[in-house]
This record gives sequence, C-alpha cells and structure tokens, in this order.
Amino acid sequence: MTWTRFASPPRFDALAAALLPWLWGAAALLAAAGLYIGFLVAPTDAQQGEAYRIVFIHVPAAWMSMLVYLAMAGWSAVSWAFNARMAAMLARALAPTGALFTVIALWTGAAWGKPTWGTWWVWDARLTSELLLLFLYLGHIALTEAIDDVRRADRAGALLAIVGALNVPVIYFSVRWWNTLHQGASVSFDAAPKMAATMLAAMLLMTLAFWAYAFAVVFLRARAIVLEREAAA
Amino acid sequence: MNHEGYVWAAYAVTALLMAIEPWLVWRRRRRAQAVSE
Repeated sequence: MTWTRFASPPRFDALAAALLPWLWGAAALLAAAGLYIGFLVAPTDAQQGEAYRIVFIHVPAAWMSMLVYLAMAGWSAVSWAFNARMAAMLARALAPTGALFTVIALWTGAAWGKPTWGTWWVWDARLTSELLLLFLYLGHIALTEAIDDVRRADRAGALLAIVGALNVPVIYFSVRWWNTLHQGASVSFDAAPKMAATMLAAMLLMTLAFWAYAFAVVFLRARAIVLEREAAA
Repeated sequence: MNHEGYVWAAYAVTALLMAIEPWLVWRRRRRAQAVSE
C-alpha cells in the first residue's frame, strides 16, 4: 500500500466513514476525562483562583489553531505540487475548523484576561498575531468561496495558505521575541513544564480531545466536499 | 475573587461552538447527499 492510496476520493470517503465513530467517541471520552481532572482533581490556583481553569481549553484551542493552519498549508503545498484533488479538498475542509479554534482561543483568552490582566484585549504581539491568523482563515474561506471555478479556487486558496504559514512561527515565538503582556510558554520543547502535574494532565487530555474532534469534523466536511464535487462534475 | 463567571462564559461559548460546527457540517453533507442521489 502506498501513501497515494487514499488520494482517491472514494477510498478516502470509505476510510473516513470507518474512522468517524471512533474519533467522535475518543473526543467525548478524552474531554470527559480532561474536564474531570481539570475541575475535580486539579487544585485551585494560589494566585488566580478558579480563573486559571480556562487554561484547559485556551491552550489546546490555541495550539490547534496553529496546527490546523500548518496542516492546511501542508495539504495546500501537496495540492499545488502534485495537482492532487483530495489534498485540495482537505485543505479547504480544514479552514473553518481552524477558524473555530482561533475564535475559541481568542474568546477564552479574553475571558481569562479580564479577571487576571484587568482587560479583555491588548494589542500585544501574541494577541495581534493570533487575530491575524483568524483573518487569514476567514480570508481563505472567502477567497475560495468567491471563485466559481473549483481548480482556480483551490490554487488561489493554496497560495494564500502557504504564504500565510509565515504567521504561525510569529505567533509561537511572539512571547520570546517581544515584550508581551501575554505570559511565556507553559509547556515547551526545551524546558520542564511550569505547572502542577494534574493541571498538565488535564490540559494534555483536552488537547487530545480537540485533536480527535478536529479529525472527526474535518473528515466529515471533506466527505461533504467530495460529494458536492461529484454532484457538480 | 474566584471569577467563576468568566470560567463559565469561556466554557459555555466553547461548548456551544463545538456543538454547532459538527451539526452544520452534518447538515451540509446531508444536503450534498440529497443532491447526488
């Protein structure tokens, strides 16, 4: 079996149909476990009280907003290089879910910022670059929907997705490159986590739940796009 | 100073959005299915 096997839309559709119940189930179970540990096991924070519990959805949503964009840019690059239909459909299926995670990251960040910083919003580098990410997602959706010719729409969307990927490292490293009100990374590749084990466990479980949710909803949307294109052909 | 209202607001909006999205996508697929049949 080669990696191109699932580049065929009917094969992808069959694989996605088989995986979907497992993905939904995994998302529900992981979220239940994450919320249980996050609300009933993890202690109240000494400085922030209960407000810190927003971290269990804020950080996973922010991670997903960047990862989904990178996945979208990756599939866009594949579709651009190999003129691959399924890759273009996956890139387009990812955009609304990425936008949703970005909205969640921004909203939960605002709801956390108000009690801890005293403000819903500041124009610091992290928040502004995350807002730019939302505009990139919305721009991608608007651009691809505005062009009637599917192939031209895919190529225009792919170009925007690839160029916009430059913003992702800016978001990730913004708290190191600039002096921001937003705190630095709680979990990073080159340092020990700066939070209690139960808090970290809840956050990682919620991250896995968001992963499963993202796979499920993107596969479902990709199946819809496959059908729409078959009907239009 | 527990700020529980902010926590509820953050989780409620997140849950709502993450419930609406699959429903909208499911509806889109059903429409596409109806057209292709």
